[in-house]
Amino acid sequence: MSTPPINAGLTILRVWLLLLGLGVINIATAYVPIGAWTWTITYPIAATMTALIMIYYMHLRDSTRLVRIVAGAGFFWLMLLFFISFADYLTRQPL
Amino acid sequence: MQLVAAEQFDDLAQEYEASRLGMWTFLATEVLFFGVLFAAYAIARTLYPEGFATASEHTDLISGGIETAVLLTSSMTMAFGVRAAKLGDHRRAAGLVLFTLLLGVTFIVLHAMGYYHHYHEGHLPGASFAYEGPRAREVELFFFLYFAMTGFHMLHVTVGVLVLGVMALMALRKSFGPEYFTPIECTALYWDFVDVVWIFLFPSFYLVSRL
Repeated sequence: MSTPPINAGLTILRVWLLLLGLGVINIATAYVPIGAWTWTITYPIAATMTALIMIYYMHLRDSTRLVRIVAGAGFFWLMLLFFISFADYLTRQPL
Repeated sequence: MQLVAAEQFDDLAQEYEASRLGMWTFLATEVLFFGVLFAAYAIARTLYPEGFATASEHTDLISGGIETAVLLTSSMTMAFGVRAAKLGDHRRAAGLVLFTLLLGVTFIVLHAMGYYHHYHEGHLPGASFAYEGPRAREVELFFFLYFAMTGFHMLHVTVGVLVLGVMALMALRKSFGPEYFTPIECTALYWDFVDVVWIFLFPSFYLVSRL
């Protein structure tokens, strides 16, 4: 093929710095006094870091739509698993 | 080095697309694999929030933070390595892949040291579990999930390290270039996925609550 999709060196470095920065913010979140609700901040940050890695390092930004759909399929299945499992546990009444 | 597509493909571009699609399909099955473990974790944490918060304070945040930085950096060096391979820079590609491998080994060593420390503290679920407190069973459940999930992750890192070794050898043998880079790119996809799993493991076990 003529031109393989190549990431510019600066892009790779910038994504790395962003990832490290988000990681530091994530660690700081554990010290915020919101008790059991830390996950509302730490997991969205983790999801953002994942999106950065998938779009830039894993080349989703220069992939065909089919590849992006397959990449999203795993995530979609995961949402189904979490949604249905929690629908069960959160609606359980004591006998 | 192949410059002609295998006969079932129309051209090299289609063959490359097929390889990438196949690799992503495999990664989707890995999402299934880790997904059920994370679902179990999510349910257990929802049922026992205080127990999990207490147990999380017994994990080593500094070690976990360094491990996170190590893996994030290894994804960066791997991205540079794939870039070098695509540009035909064989020695740089091999060097960067080897450095990624070293970072992977660093992660494994750090985490294994953490396991030993936890065993010493009596956090290993089972006969040697020695935590005394009002929520001991919940803490034990936390550490069961900790060892199971980070253990499977470490297994994946180990496999990745072995494959990285093979890629470094292939790079040294000048197997990669602008025409052919599929193995090293698929390896990078796997390695980045392993990094993504850790990105979710880290807040799950080290960042529940540190107050």
